[in-house]
Parts: sequence; C-alpha cells; structure tokens
Amino acid sequence: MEPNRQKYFDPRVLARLKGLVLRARRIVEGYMTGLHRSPYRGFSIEFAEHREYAPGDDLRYVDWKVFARTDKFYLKQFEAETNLVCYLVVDASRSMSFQSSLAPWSKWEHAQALAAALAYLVLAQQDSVGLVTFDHTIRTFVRPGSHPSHLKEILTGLEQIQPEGKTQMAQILHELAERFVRRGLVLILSDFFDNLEELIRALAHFRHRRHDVILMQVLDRAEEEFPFQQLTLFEGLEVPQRVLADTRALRAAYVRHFQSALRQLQRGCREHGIEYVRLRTDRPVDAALRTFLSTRKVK
Amino acid sequence: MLGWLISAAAPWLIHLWTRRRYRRTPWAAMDYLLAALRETQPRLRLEEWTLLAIRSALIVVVVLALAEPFQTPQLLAQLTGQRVHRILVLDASLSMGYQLPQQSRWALAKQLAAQLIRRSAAGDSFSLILMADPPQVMVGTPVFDQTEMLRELEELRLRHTSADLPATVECLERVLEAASHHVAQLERTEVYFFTDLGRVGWVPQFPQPEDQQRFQQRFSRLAHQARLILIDLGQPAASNVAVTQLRLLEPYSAAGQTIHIEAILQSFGQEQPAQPVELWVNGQLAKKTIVHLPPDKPVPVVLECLADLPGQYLLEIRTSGDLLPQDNRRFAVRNVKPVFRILCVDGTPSGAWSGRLEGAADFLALALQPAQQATAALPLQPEIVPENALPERTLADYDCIFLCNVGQLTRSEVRLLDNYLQRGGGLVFFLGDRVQPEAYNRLLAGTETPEHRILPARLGQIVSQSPAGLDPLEYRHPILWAFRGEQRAGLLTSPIFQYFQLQPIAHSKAQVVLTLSNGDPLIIEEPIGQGRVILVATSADTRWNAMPVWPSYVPLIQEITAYAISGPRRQAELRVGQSIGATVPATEAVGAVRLTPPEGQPVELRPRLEAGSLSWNYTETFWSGFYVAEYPSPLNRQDVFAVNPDPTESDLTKLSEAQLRQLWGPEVPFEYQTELESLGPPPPTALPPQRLTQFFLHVALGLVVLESIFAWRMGKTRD
Repeated sequence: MEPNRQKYFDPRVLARLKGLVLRARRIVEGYMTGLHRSPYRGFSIEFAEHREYAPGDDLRYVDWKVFARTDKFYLKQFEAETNLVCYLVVDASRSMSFQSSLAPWSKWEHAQALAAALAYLVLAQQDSVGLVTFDHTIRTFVRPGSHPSHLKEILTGLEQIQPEGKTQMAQILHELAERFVRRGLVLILSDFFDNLEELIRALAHFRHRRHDVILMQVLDRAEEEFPFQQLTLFEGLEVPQRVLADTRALRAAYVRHFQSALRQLQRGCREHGIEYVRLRTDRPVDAALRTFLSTRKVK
Repeated sequence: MLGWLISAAAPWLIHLWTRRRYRRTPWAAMDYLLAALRETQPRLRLEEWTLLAIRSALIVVVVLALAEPFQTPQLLAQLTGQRVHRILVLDASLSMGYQLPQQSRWALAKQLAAQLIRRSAAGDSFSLILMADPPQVMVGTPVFDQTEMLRELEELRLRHTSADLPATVECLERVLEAASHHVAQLERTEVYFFTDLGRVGWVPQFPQPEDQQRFQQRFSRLAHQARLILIDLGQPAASNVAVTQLRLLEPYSAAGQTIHIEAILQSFGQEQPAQPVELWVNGQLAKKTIVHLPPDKPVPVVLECLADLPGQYLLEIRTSGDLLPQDNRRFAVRNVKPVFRILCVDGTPSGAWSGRLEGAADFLALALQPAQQATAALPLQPEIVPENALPERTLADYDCIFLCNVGQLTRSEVRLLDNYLQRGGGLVFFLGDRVQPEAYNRLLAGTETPEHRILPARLGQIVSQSPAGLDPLEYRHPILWAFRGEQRAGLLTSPIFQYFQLQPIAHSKAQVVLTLSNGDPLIIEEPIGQGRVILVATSADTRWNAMPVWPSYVPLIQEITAYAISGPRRQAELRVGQSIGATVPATEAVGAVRLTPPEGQPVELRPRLEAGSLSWNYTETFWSGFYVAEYPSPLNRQDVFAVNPDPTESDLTKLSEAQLRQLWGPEVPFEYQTELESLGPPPPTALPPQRLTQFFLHVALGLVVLESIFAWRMGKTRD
C-alpha cells in the first residue's frame, strides 16, 4: 500500500471524523483508489418463493395477485436479487467498549467503522447488505437490502447502539444461522471472548447452511501484549469481578493463555473453511476490506 | 537495643502498603487473566513471602549483631545440647560463720560457688538452695544467666540457725522435679554442697527408726539422680566459746529492783582460763567479769544490773575471743514497772482491809505483800474490791486479777476479762462456797460461747472428803520450780478439805500444775490470748483448806502471780527460725506494724483480723538479736522480741569423709573435695561476645546475598 493512502485507514485519523458516513466513505474511497479493476458485477432476477410481508419491506415486491386471492401481503423473493447478500454481524457486548491508552478508539468504534465501510462498499457494488448487532440477545436486525438508501438504515442501526451486556455469541449465531434464509456472506465482527468450542460449533452451523463466513476479530493492543508495568486492579467489563494483579509477574502466563485461545479460534476457522482476520484497534482497517474483497472475488 | 527487633515487621508493612497503591483499568479479557492468575498466584505468593521472610530475618540478625549479645553463648549452647544443671547447696547454718585466716567459711563457700558458676560452660544452668533450718530454695527454676546467678549469690546472708538436712533433701527433690519440666535435653545434674560438715547438721536425729530409713532411701535416690559433690570447708580441730543459755532469775522486775541474769557459757574443744563475759544493758556496757571455762562443760555466770527506772530493758550477754562471733551474744528483754498492781475481787468481802482476815481475798492480799510493814518498795501492790466493783475498774491498770469465791459473773464482766486476757493480763480464779458452777461453766468455760472461753477447765461437783497430800507432778511446771528440793516449805502436805472437781477442756493448751494425791487437779493453767489464766480448785482463804496458814502459801501465791504476770510470750526464750507476732484487740484498729530486725531494713506488716483480734506474724527470724515492733497510733507502743541463736551450732565437731561414707553407706555415692577440683579450665564454649557479633554479621551478609539473588530471580520472571 502506498504511504499517502495510509491516511485513509489510519484509526487515529478516522477517529477524528464525526459520523459513520464520513468514516465509511473515507475507508472505501481510499481503498478504491488503490484497485486496478472495478469490483462491480451485474445481477439476475429469478423468482424463488414468497414470504410474508414485514414492516419495512419494499412495497414494490408485494405480489398483488396473491393479495387479491388471499387478502394477505406476500413479497416475491428472487433467487438472486443481487450478486451477493452480505450479513454484517457485529458484537455489541460490553467487552467491545474496551479501549486501552495505546489505542485511539475502542474495539466497538473500530468494529462500527469497519461495518459501516463494508456496508458502504457492498451497496456500492449493487449487492445486498444486512446488519445484526447483539450482546446476549439480538439488539438490531436490519434485513439485507441493496438500495443505496439502505446504507442509511444500516448506519442508523450501528449508531444507535452502545456496547453493553454480556456476550452469548454461540446461542446468537445458532439463531442467526436459522434466520439467514438466503445463502450469503456472513461477516462477524467481535473480540470473540467467549466459549470458543461452542462458538466454533455455531460457526459450523453457518457453514452447514452454506454461508460463507468471515471472522474479524477486533482486539486492543493491550489485550494482546499486556503491557502493564505496575500493580493493577482489573475490573471485569462483562463479569462483576475485580482482580488485583502484579502485571509483570502475570504477563507471560496471560499472553500464553491469550495466544492459545487465538490459535484455537484460528484452528477452528481453518477446519470449517472460515476466513479469519485479526484486527487491532491501533492498526489500519484496510486489512479487513482486503480480506472481504478477496473472498467476494472468489464467490 | 533488642526493641529494634520490632522493625522486622517493616518489610511486611511496606508490602501491605504498596499493595494499596495500584492503578485501575476496565478489562474485557477476564477469562485469560483469571486463568493466568490461577496458574501463577501460588508460586508468586510463595516467592513474595520467602523474600519478605529473608528481609525480616536480615533485620533481626543485624539488630542482634548490634545488640552485642553477651547471653547468646548460653543460647547457642542450649541449642547444641550438652547442658549440665548445677544445684548449689550452701550451708548457711551458724557454724559457717567460723573465721578462717583470710575469711569466714561462709565467705569461702560463696567465693567457691561463684568460681563454680564462672567456670561453668555456657548453657549450664543453676539452682540455689540455702541449707538452714528451715532450708530455703533461693533459685528453684534453673537459671542460665551466670550474672544473675552471681548477683543472687552475692545477696545471700549467713543465718544463725542450724541446718536441717532432711528438709534440704526435700528441697533438692523439688528442684530436680522442676528442672525436669523446665530444661530440655539435660545431660546431667550435679549437686554441690558447700558445707563445714558439722555433726549437728549432717547427722539428723529422727524420732522413729523408720523415719531414718525413709530418709536414707530418699537420699540414695537423689544420689542416683544427680552427681553429689561435697566441698568440705570445715576444720577438724575447731574450738569455740559460746553463750548457750540466758535466763532472768526474777519472773518480773519493778523499778528500783535488781535484775539478775544467768548466762551459761561453754567452751567447746579447749579450756579457756580467762574468758571475758559482759552484760550490756540498752546498748551500754553494764558489767564485765572474767570466768574460767573448762573444756566442754557448761559454766553458769550470774550478772546483775539495777533497774532504777521503769521501762524496757534490752539485756545482752557477750563474750569474745574466739573465731565464731555469731554465738557469743545472747539476748533478753525485761519490762520494768514502777509497781505491779494486783486486783483482788472478793466474793465474800470483809468490808475493809482491816486485818481481820474475814474476806476470801484477805489471806491472798497478805501473801502478795507479806512484808508491807518492812518496806514500801515491794513490787506487788494488791487492792481488794467487792465483786460488784469489777466493772467500775479500768482493768488495763492491773497486772494481775484474782477472783476469789466470786459467785458468778455477768456477760459484760466476762467480756471485760476476755479483753484483759487478750492484751496480756494475768487472771487467777480461786473458788469457794459462793461459786455457782453452772454459771461458771456456761459463761466462762465455753459451754455457751466456746470462742470466748476463759477457764481452762469445767467445774464439777464439790468434793468434801479430800485425800491427804498433793502430787507436784515432778515439779514439771514453772510455778512449782521454786519448790523443787524444798520439802520443808510444806507444799505437798497442805491440807485441802473441799474442792471443785476440775475437768480440763479437751484439745486445749491447759496444763495441770498440781494435783491431789487421788489425781484430781488442784491447779490448772492455760494461756489465753496474750495472757494467762490459772484456776485453783479450792478457796484462797481457810474455808476449804488450811493452805493460808501453811508455810507454802506465800511462795505459792508469789509464784502463781509471777507466772500470771509473765504471760506466755515473755516466758519462753525465742530461737532463730521461730515466728514472732502479737495480737491486739480489733477495737484498737492499728495500721501497719513496723518491724525492725537486728540486721537489714525495717518491714511493714499488716495485722490480719482473726477471731475478733488483729494479729501479725513474722517468720523470717533467721538472725539473732532484738526485733522491734512499733505500733502506730492509737496504740503508740513498742514490743521488743529477743531472738537467740541455736546453741547446738556452737559445737563445731565435724564429720570426716570416712565417717560420712560410713554413715550413709554405699547406697549414697558422693565425691568428697576440699576445693573445686572437679572443674577444669574455663570451657571453650564460653565465646566472647565479639565473636558472636561477627557470627551474626556473617549471617546478615549471607542473607543480603540470598535476598539479592532471590529478588533478581523474581524480577527476571516478571520481565
């Protein structure tokens, strides 16, 4: 990547921008200027099935003939409305609010900006994008849409949320795997501080439903390196627990446990054909986009 | 300096303080943090505590090094074992005061004991027993501190008592028992006797042969528990002169009379052709004479002094010129009064002191003052009063009260008489036809109030057919001493026509003085309180007997009076080791009694309330001389007690090693020495304090290195 483009992805710069729209545009535009060929694709329209109308659905797809017969609103579902349906699944639990002194923004802000950028990018490619945010329950659910105005809905869904509550990711992912009817690309943004065995089983559920899955693990540098030098009282964000620890004496053991967990997650992803990207809140965000697009290209 | 040891807590306090200074941070990855904590915390805590313990130990060792631990060699020796418990038994009997060319036996004993302590190895412990009568355990629980032991030894004083070997062996058994509980890893026990091996102390007399056998067994057991070493400080041919007895020939003295003091002197071992004898009165030399003392034969010497003024006379007989000064003095106290007032209460008064001899007390008064017409300076001054006058009199003004044929006494009169006796008065009852025995028994003989009993016997029936003759009971009682060998006085033939049968009170101190030939008591006496009661079964006049017209009547009355006046306390000679004390009526409410012993500092004694009287008691009369008890207001009086040395100790005959071995037999093995032969040069374990300081500094240096390595290693694991 050229040095002058770095500014587009530098979290320190992005953090100074107000509003997700600005942040998303800056990321995507910065990325686009570096690409040599357009990612835009055509799309086909082929009827697949009906589904019941839900508030917010586009009235253009209401099947009026069916309404005339049954007096009920049904939407016409197409086999492939677009080239791609992308589900952005963003962890909004309290652990995502962590921000160390080494990072310009929190993990949530990082995930938020990235999700916005990805939505912007998907919509810019005429693809559909949906959004789910969750902690121990699903907090926001925006159905996939491809209209440019859908971006606003996505961004509003992201902005209205503040990270809180405890993660119960496996359960949520199982539920989403059932709800995501159309095969697509499921992009999960989280720190994945949860029971990894259950989590991997939940991811396998997505794969079973023939979704493509990308895991984007958002971490703070402090979480990875444990750089503390003095006696520190750690106050759990998701658990009501306080631990006073001699950090220097604890570092080696902590890093070992942490890296072991990362390896376990990576291994699980590899076994189930899931893309895994590790992101750090103090590093540029382009790695995520690159992974996304390379996956998109394959599909 | 050792107070700084508290600073050993500093590392722990600093540790706790630093744990209060921390930064806070919210944390998401708690699972990994807790897992790391579970894994590392036990090891971290162990490392931390080890480091803190090393730092505390470092402070302790530095403080110990700076304190220059003089006592610590003993501690080291205690830690390394090889401990000997040495029990020092110092013979503190009077004969140990014998002067040798350089010093006394006693001083030599202390010097050798001090040498033994100084030359003992560090870690050896000591106990100290004083062999006297009674013996005293000065240091029972073993002491390791030589300085403290030497100080204790320095403060010991020779006593004027004899030595009680059986009681000393009992003390030794107790000390050995205590040592077995207090001292662990005791290698052996050694008992050192520093003694002159005086025959009196070392050949104890037992009332029963079984007692001697039991003592032999105990001593044998002791000899097997501990190594016995006898350091003999006696000299085989030691001679000595002593005043062995002192007696005042008059039972009482009035102002203007002469006091005759009889002293018995004896030279043990050698003849003393010209032995000086002195009489000291109130600290002033009053008389001096020279006597010839044949070897081993008691020689009486009578010296006299004029008691021209009333008051307390402190009398002392001294001799000199021998090597044992402690038994050259003997002491006595005489209270000299201007006159002795006698109250004669007459139950059948004649109406006046007319010379018609009609009243029950008339003969008595005549016997008390037989030569009234000849001289006015006689000490006894009788006064006859009717029985109803008793409550009107101040009884304390009289030295003796005679109750002659008094029919009965009221309760208030009995109380007055009881108080009078408690203060030391003399009370004499003569009976007669007016006496009501039931009333006497009820109020005076304790039938109604045993705690206020006055009479030494109950009155039985009147016997009218009296046998002829009296039995003096071998003149054992002091009242009859004057009649011994004086058959012509007619005491034994005194005609008695009628008398009350007296029944002495069981388990009392009553003594029968004189009986009739059929065994019925005629005179009984008993000490009550500080005074004496004498009960005569017949009358004081000629109604029931012909005694008043018999030649023995006047001396008998005089002796009864003298005995009643002298009181129990004044009669006996006090020996060292016997307790002294007095009783005052509780109504006087005296505070502390200040007692000044002949040597040493005055002590304050607080009287205890016992049976309505305040009494005090002092048992530490281990030195001969005058013990002065001063009573504060309202009594404001002084009592002086003369305490005399044990005369048996004046015989300096000693046992030889062979005699002792023969006496004790092979069951009691002991080592015999005349000096400290068994102890070699000072033991090498007695480290000088400097070396110990170096030792602690070396330990401190080692701890510094250990701490650095440990801290570096801990730091490394944290980076």
